Amino acid sequence: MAFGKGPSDWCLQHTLLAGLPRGSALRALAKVSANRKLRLRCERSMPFELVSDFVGPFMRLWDAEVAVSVSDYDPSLVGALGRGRGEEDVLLLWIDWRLHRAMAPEHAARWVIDLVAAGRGAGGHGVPVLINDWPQGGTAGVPDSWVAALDAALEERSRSLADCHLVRLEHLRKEECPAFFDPRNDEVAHYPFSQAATVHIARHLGAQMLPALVTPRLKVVAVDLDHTLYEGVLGEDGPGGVRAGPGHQALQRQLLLLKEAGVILALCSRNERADVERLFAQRKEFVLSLDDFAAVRVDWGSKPDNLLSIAAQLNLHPSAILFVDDNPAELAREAEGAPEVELVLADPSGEGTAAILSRHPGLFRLRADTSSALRTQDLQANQQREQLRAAAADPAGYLARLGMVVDLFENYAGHASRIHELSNKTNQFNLCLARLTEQDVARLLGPRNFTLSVALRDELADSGVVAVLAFEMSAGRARLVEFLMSCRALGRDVEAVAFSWALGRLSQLGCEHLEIQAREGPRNQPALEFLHRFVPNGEREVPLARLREAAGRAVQRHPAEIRVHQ
Amino acid sequence: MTSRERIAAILSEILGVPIDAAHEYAREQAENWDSLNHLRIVLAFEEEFGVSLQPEEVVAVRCLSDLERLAQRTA
Repeated sequence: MAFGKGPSDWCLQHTLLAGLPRGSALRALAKVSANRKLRLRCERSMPFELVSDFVGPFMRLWDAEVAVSVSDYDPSLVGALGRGRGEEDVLLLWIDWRLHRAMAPEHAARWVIDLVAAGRGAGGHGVPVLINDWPQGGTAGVPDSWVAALDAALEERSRSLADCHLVRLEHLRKEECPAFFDPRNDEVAHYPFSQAATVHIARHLGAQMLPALVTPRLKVVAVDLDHTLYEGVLGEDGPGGVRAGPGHQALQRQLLLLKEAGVILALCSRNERADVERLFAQRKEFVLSLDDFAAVRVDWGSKPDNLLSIAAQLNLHPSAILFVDDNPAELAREAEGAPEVELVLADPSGEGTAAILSRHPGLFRLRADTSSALRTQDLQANQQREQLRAAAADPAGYLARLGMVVDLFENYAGHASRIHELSNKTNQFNLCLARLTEQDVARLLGPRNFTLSVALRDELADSGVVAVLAFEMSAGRARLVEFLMSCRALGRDVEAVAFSWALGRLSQLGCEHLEIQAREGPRNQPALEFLHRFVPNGEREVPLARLREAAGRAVQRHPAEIRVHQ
Repeated sequence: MTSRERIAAILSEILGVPIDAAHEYAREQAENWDSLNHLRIVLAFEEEFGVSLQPEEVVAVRCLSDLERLAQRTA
């Protein structure tokens, strides 16, 4: 059973995420055996133990535990060059940047990034690496231009290295904890940060960064209305009578931030649809509009059924949904009727709910979502597409009506982030379940391999980059190591178009055989069924000519305009 | 629970040894009362009693009774 299914879980969410928990509360949380075990190796030049004391309790929020190993104190961090390789899942470089002030900030940033690259060796492979930046306001309490330049240089250089992410202490100081430093701690143990800052750092690592590195992201936040998005009952108080004070406005702002970061918003409420439409139209202080929700279920049906129907509409597995409701009894019914949906108990003011959503595991993004701006509009267009499909005389007529344009990009490095994102969040049309790292993506986009990224638009919406096929090449042979398609682009047979075109290109490149590394997972039946259309016997190695012919036949009347970018 | 018992509980939890509040317990008695555990003890003490110690007080703490005196001063 996933976390978030009962009163003790909801209580823990509030304790750990709504406010700042006390150290004693964190110490009191008994260690439990978790489903996922993570090994974190810390190479450091300042104490990490005070942070690691508190990371574990936050990992309970996603049924995980961590084993931390710390190096001796070493400002040169030579341990990052390889000691312990293979014995950790994540490497943290925990650096007291004050020890490096003799260097120019840009040189200091380059030194640490070069160190990580050197530690990965010539092959460029290694576990994900986290590096802390440095907060403003140390001893002098005035803006420090060296620190500002260091943080900017770290930001820029870490972006250029795959699977390398910053622990943004300066962001935590600005957004969460102004009193970040404690000179007393520095004097006693050369640990510069305050107790409050320590808990903030532990929470950021345990509830946000570590789950973002190793678990699938939540894709949808669905919310109830009454006593969740505002105070009051719409059916009794009316659209003008419910109240959205500062706490509920903060919650709505947080939901909008999540949407801008790529999370899909949905409404699931037992109310009259006309009342809800009037509510969003009338209440000018509402931060959200009805158009911000990609899926809306407002009726008197059962909420678990409606949550499952939202998942079906969005072509997502229910475990990609987080649902927020104020009523524990309703949540208990949802835990029973839609057991894979994650649940959060809303607090009466809205402020605690906003705080929980801002820190909830699975909602944090290590890098900006590259297609967030397109997603909600495209999902809303899917409803129009369904209407067109229903009205069309046959499937071909429906596809022709859409006016599709498919853009095919060969080994286009500009899509690296999107390819990595798709590989790690696509569950249904994911044939190989390779879960590529950023380093894998960089290799597959390199000159010896062939990676096709596929963008799609039609007359209703621009879907952006929705599919990827990645092949490793060797003399006369190709191996399909990744074939993904965003679930919101399914139903238009674009996957077959891309597959057919990729096979033709492989043939041009001299390949005669294709090895297919298909893997069966808990949710990727759509991808396996697609493969079965062309490889009904389940062979792992197929003559390319035979496959090309079958795929070509399947798409010969597909009406999409194809544009190739080489 | 007396202040002394609450402090003994903090020391016991952080140092991982049973500590009897009826007796003195000093830094020299614990092999693992190092600088990091010293910080853990002081920070837990501050949180438990809702106080903030001066830098020189943090450094000067050597035993259970030192902490008890600080707790009584701020009571």
